[in-house]
Amino acid sequence: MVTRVSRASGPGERLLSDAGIVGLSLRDPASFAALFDRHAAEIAQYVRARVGPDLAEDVTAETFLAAFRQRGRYDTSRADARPWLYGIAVRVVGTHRRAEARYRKLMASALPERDTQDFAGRSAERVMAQQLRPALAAVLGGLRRQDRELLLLVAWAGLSYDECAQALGITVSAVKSRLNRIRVRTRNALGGVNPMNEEETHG
Amino acid sequence: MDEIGMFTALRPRPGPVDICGARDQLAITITGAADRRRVSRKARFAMAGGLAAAAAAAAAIVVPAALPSGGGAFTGTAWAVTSQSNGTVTISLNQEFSDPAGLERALRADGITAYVRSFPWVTSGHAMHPACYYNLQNDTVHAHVVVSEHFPPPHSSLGEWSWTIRPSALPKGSALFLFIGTDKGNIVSIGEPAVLRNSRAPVCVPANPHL
Repeated sequence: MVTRVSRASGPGERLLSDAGIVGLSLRDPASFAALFDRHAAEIAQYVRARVGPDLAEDVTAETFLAAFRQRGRYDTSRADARPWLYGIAVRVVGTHRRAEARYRKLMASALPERDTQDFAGRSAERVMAQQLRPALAAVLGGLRRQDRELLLLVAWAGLSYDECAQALGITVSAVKSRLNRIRVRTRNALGGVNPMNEEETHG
Repeated sequence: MDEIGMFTALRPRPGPVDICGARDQLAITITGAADRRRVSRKARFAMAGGLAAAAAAAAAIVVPAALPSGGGAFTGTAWAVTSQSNGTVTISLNQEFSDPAGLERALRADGITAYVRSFPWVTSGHAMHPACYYNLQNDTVHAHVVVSEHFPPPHSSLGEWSWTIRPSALPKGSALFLFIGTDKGNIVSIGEPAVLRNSRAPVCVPANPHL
């Protein structure tokens, strides 16, 4: 895991981990802004993917305001605050369920993006996956909320199993077991086949 | 690609997200939390030494036309609007601020369409946050209205905020917006004066109580 560090402003510059910034912000609240500057763009993109561009800024703001208020509970043994921030973002997105569901349906019904440059750069697998969008969207929409959150943290935010466990407050084995359940469900929804694999799997 | 990886195909393409407003909201909250420590000191000073100003408040609240001019002296409402001969107007506030409606009327009397709002902060656990937020993202315009500004020194017991503005720089149909966060009668946050695109009154949206 890459530990993100950046310069703290002012005299006596030093390198601080996210945990260091959160710890410092308990004495000096203004230093929390450094955490925003470090991660807000990434969190905002995830939020945008979840609730759409119209609500993205508001939900990002709510996420960081909630993080600021909850910073006293941050586990400072975790150097990287991204999983913590994603976990908060997930909860904030959860308070905008209707908007999230509406945007998800909208995206599911949208045609695959046809940007030439992007399309050319895609692997055959990705093009295939695009063709499966309606089926995948149906699976996604049918998942329990907590399973959907986990799936999207892996597939859209690119979090590791350990990071997902931190974000959602569950164990790594629970992450694995839930993802396996989602795999099976997806395979079943695609007719017992994973078209991305040469070998067909039934069941 | 396994089944989980397939779902990346459903991710909408990344796009621009303006996070400036989010940063501003966070900055206001942070400022409030930092000021809260100072505010408790200020409150004690105000109780000990600010009784005369508080007692004088009632008369000025209902007489916005009798505003100080030129001298910059405070009315009992702990705000002042001072017009200068060069066309600029100075708005000043101090910790005894009250009567936002009076300040609003005073500004309007000077020909400035303005909204002045005071909104409460609430304590949640060990932190404070505004009870509501003004989401001004799509409602403001950039206009160089503020000529100069002054804030209290970080560790002063009683301070004064002031902005000197140029009303002629306000676009036609726009309005000046001042929003002041308070807690138990003390100022805990002051937003930079904003210029609203139109003269529609901004709405404070309640903060999410579940967070």
